[in-house]
Amino acid sequence: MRFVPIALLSCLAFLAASALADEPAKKKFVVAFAQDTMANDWRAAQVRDLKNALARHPDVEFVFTDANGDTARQVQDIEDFAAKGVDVLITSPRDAELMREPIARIHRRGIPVILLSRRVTGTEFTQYIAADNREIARKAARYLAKRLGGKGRILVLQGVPSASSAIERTEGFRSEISKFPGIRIVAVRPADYLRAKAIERIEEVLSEGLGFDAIYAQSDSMAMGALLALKKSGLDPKKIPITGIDYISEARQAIRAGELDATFTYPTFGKEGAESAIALLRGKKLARKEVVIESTAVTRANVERVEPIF
Amino acid sequence: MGASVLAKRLLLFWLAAAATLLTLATGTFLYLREVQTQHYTEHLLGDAVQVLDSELGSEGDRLTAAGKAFIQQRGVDANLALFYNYYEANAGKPEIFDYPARELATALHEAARAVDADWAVVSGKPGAIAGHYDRTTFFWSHRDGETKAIAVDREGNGVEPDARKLAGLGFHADELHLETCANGSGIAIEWEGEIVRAGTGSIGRASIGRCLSAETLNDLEERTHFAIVIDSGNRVQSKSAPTGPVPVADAYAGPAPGQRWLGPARFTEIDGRRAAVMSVALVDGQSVGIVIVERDAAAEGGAGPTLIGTAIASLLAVTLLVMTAGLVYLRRNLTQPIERLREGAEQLRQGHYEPITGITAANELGDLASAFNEMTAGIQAREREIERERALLRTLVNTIPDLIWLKDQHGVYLGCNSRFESLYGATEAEIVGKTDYDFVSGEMAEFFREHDRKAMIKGAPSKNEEELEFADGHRELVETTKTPMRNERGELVGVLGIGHDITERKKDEARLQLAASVFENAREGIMITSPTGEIVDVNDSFTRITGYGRDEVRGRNARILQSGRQDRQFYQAMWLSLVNEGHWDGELWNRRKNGELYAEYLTIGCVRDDGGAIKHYVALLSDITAIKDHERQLHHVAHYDALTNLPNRVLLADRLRQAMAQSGRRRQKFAVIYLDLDGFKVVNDTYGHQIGDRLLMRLAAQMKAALREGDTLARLGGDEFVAVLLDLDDVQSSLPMIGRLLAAANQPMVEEGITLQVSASLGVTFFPQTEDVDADHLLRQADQAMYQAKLAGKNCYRIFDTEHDRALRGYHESLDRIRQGLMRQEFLMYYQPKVNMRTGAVVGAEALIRWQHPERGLLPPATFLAVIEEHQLSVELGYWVLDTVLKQIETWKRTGFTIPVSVNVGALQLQQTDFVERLQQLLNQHTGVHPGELELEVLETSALQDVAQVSKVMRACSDIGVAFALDDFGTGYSSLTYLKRLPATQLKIDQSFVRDMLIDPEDLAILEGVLGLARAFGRQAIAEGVETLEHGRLLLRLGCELGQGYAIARPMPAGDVPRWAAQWRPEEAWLLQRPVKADELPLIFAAVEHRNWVAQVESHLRGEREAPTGDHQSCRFGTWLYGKGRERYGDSLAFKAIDTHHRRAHERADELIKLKAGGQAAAVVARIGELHLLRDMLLADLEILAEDA
Repeated sequence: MRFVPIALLSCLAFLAASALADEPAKKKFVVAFAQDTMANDWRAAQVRDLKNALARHPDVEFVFTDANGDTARQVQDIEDFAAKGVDVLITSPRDAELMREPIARIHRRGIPVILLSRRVTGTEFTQYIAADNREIARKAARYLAKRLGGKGRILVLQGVPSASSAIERTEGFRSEISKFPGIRIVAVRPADYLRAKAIERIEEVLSEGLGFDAIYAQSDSMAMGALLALKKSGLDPKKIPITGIDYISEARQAIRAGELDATFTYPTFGKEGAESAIALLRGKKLARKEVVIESTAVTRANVERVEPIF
Repeated sequence: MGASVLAKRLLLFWLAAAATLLTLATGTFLYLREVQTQHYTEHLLGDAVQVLDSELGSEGDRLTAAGKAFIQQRGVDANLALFYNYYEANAGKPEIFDYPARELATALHEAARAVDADWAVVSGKPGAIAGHYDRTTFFWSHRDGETKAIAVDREGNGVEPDARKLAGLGFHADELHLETCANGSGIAIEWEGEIVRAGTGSIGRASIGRCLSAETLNDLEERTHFAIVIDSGNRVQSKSAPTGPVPVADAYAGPAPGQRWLGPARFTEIDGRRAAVMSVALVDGQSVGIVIVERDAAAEGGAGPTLIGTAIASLLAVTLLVMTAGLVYLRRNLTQPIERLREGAEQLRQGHYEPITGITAANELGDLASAFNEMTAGIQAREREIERERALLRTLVNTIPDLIWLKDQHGVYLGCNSRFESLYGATEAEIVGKTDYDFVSGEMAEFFREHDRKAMIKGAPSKNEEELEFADGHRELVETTKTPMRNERGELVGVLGIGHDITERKKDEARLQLAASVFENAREGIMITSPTGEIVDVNDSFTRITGYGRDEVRGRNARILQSGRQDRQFYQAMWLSLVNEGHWDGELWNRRKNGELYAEYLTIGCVRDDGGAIKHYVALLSDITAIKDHERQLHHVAHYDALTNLPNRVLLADRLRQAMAQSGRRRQKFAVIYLDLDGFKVVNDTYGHQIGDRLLMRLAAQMKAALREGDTLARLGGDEFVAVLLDLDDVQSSLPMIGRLLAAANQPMVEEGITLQVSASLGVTFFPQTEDVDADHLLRQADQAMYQAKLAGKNCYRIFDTEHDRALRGYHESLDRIRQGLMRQEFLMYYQPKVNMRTGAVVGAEALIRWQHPERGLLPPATFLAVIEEHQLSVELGYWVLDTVLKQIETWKRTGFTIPVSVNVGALQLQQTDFVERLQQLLNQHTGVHPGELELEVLETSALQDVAQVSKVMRACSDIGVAFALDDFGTGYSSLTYLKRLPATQLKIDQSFVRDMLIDPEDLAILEGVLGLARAFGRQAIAEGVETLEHGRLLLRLGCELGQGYAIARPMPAGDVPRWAAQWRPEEAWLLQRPVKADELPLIFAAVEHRNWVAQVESHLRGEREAPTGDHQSCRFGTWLYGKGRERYGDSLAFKAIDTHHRRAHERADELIKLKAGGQAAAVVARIGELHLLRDMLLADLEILAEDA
């Protein structure tokens, strides 16, 4: 058996060509992401999503920095990117006020700036992509109200009380639930988005003898904590509707197992950020300055079709 | 005691002298001490100055380190940059800078706390940003038009430092300096530095400082034992410092030598305390005085009186000591010696030889004592000498191992030695005075007595042998000698008896006798030689075997027996074994005296002396000529037909094997002729077996005579014979002999008056053939042809038609027959090894299926696999193969042989949904097999039929540990994407590329490309079809180390694999190969171009194609040689040689092509070798070129 391996030869030719192409290197576009911190899983997933989305474009190089949760360092990272001459700058600013001017200066220099999930004051940036925390909270409220048949008591596990996300997720929920007269919020217990604290809060509530029929957890990590605490106390989580936010892999497992009722995706905006960056690189104008990404409710009905964020 | 007067006088003298000396010594001591104290204090003051200076230095170093660490923190630099770059832009909203200011304050807090700084400040664009003072860290918040200081560790308003304190935190030029302490008293040390950002320059400053407080000075006082005063107008001092005014220091004029901060010290006194005064400069140039002073005198006081008290006490003690010493002296020198002399005389009187001790003085008393002692020693020495001689005699008698005793004339014991004591089990004291009757039976005692008497009467020694039983029960054979004893007057006084143990001697004598008897009576010949081989003695059997008598051979060398049938090496090996191991045994041929050769089994051993040197050789020889003859007969029976004396089937098989091996070496053919007699059965039936047998014998002899020397005629049995004709140039040259064989068989014979005539049918086949055949094959082919001859009417021959047979075999077996074959277990596996050609490691084996067809012999897979390719049966067969191979791996492992085996898996099998499951089941059934020891090979082309499915299966297999190889790689159309998706660990490069790579540059390029792909994708590459040494070399140069092919090993039955793996070594030439560098690749391509050209010329000369076009410059090799080649290697010597070879190759080719055109085709073919020679020289030089480069 002997075929002329044309395909193989053409592959070799391609290899040779790409080797030659290194000489007069065709300029690659650089898209830079100045991340606040990589210590947080959601933020690490944000970088990963951006990277994966941009990897489909061989003419684009993706670079990122980790400011370790320090505003001044994030400013420095942004300035360093600008000095190196990146083509698009993406960031999620840690401080809306302090970072307004550094970002504005770069924007004025003609470098497009895309802000993901957090913005600076003013309008000196190219695009802001985020999700609407209030809207997510409202969705959760409607979902639980329906699940309880319009009658019942809800326990709220709140995130860091001073963080805007937690404030918005609480306010949105309260305003929507007030529309259902048979439903009331029995308690709002802050658990700082942490699993361990969520376990403590649930144990407290149970020992106080406070009755509840459903739990609204403002993050999946807290929802997971709640599940553990319930199971430990001998309660069957399948009988108590629980919702979370974020949609992490653990949440997917819990939904599959029927222990978690629903969760609401809180996307990392990596894909959308990458799409905007590519559009800018291709010389297109962006249609909107502020983009709000819809959150999807994930339940047993669609759990297999929606991929978790990490 | 009379001596006490002398003692008292001497004591008085001693007292006076000692008192005078002590007074003088005390005075001198007190004076010197006063002088030294002053120097010592100044020295200590100097040390204290050094301590203070180094304290300042190390304090400075700590602050510098803390300050530098602070400004180098990335956060500090980043936050200051925020202020520097954006403060003005946000001037309207200064409150947003609280965050970075707080960050800076936190960092400053850490830095200040780390060195316990009294203050620290960081400032930037708007001025001071953060500060640390009085153990609190602040940052300045500008909010709503006012500035507030906010402490970092809690929310809320801090206390704003007052203006004076802030002034104290001003910045100075020096990095590290001294200044007035911020609280106004004493001095402080402070470090300051600029915070610089690359590209921007200074973006801020930081300072960190610490005061030299009274506590610090107290610490220093504790360490140095000196008080310290720092007099900077507002004075600080340690606790023991004087409170009054201190001397003013000189103006500061730089540090003293060896010091970093402090100026030179001046020594003075303050209130009677020694002090050092010096100065130090502050950063503003102000000079500050520093005084180091002895601590309060009260603290050091009391030293004087204590010292004097001590001195007086010592004086008294010394006086007491001297008095006591005087008394002791007198007692030792006078009174004691005299007392001792008296005691010594008394002792001697009583017979004790104690010398007088303790009198060592060199005076008259000493002389008296030593004279006395000498006298005593003289008497004692004489007595000891007598005693020593007596003891010596006693020891002598007791040491003699013999029994010794003395008796008087009447048999009464006078004495004995200790050995004799052990005879009777009594001490000498118990024996003396008794007679033998007291110890042994009366009979025995009488016997002894008689013997004693005999000696006395004889008046001379008398010997006797006696067996004695000792007291402990053991018995000895003793030779006793009894000698009459006479006194000095010559009168007989008794008998001296000596008994000597002769038990061992007697035993030795017996052994010698036995040995001599063995030597004489042994059936084996025994020969004893000196180390050089001279015969010392031989026995009768030796004479019987060799014919040489004892006297004939004594003194002659053992070489006389040599037959000359063994070579030098044989004897060398024999000697080596003798020297190293001390013995040798084996068979050899020797010569008897009458010249006759005989076989002997010889055992030689060394006899060594106590020092290990060889004294003699002893050879045992037996005549085994008869046994040898018997062996030969047995061999003959086993290998020859008893009736005709022709080789039988066994020997024929051996001869065939030899012939096949030789044929390869000599490049000659040989023929195998199967011969069956026609009409022999009739003879047998008609005239009986005896006649038949006799006919067979004569026919055999005649047919054998018809053949050449060296050819073989064997009888298989009955009337079937096989002839093997060797060294045939071609088929034709066998025909005359075939004719002669036919004629010989057809010759009429007369037996017992009956004329008998038979004929023969012959089937002929030749070796070698285009296909690989073995001896059984050849016989079957010849047999088949013989049947053809029978069918054709007998008395003729038929040559086996290999082409026809191949065509016949080409017909595929039917599906049913294959299924039957599987059921009847007619399939078996062959294994072809895969090796690393560089290291020689055997890396695996590929399992290849064979069909042991009962009618058609061993069939390769091509004859049956195609039939079942698309059929479910192929799946079944596939599982059978997997099972068989797994079993085989287990079998091998049980014998300690482990080798990974790869199995070919067909497309249909891979598509089975339960493939992985069944594979796992099979693995579970064969627990002895590790999944990594099984590899699956899938054709690249089948993998590409359904990449998705195949890659899924591959991944599932690799999950359970079974790896995949892509077989026949390069024949499919793999795109890089597909290759990426297929998780195969190994690529098997198709043999078609490998086979032609030596002459086809395109194939070489593909091969090179595939190797590159394998490297790029991290896959292992293995070359199939490594047919020659040259293939292996080139592959190794291309960096491909793994190979499989005929040059390494053919497929073999499972049983042969372990043996093969144990003995296989890579070709020498392979070991030397190294992978070429990328820039040498053109050389390899050039070599292949040239080979290609030579191959083209050759096939033209053989009439197979047109002549290649182009002269030496325009052929492809020439294009390279005179272009790139010259450019790169033009200067090399090898290049010139290559140029010459290349031109000559073209000249020679042109010449041959012309000759061929002239019609001399045959002559031309004979000269093709010349082209090969030129080609090989050129290629060799090309390699030199590569090595030089």
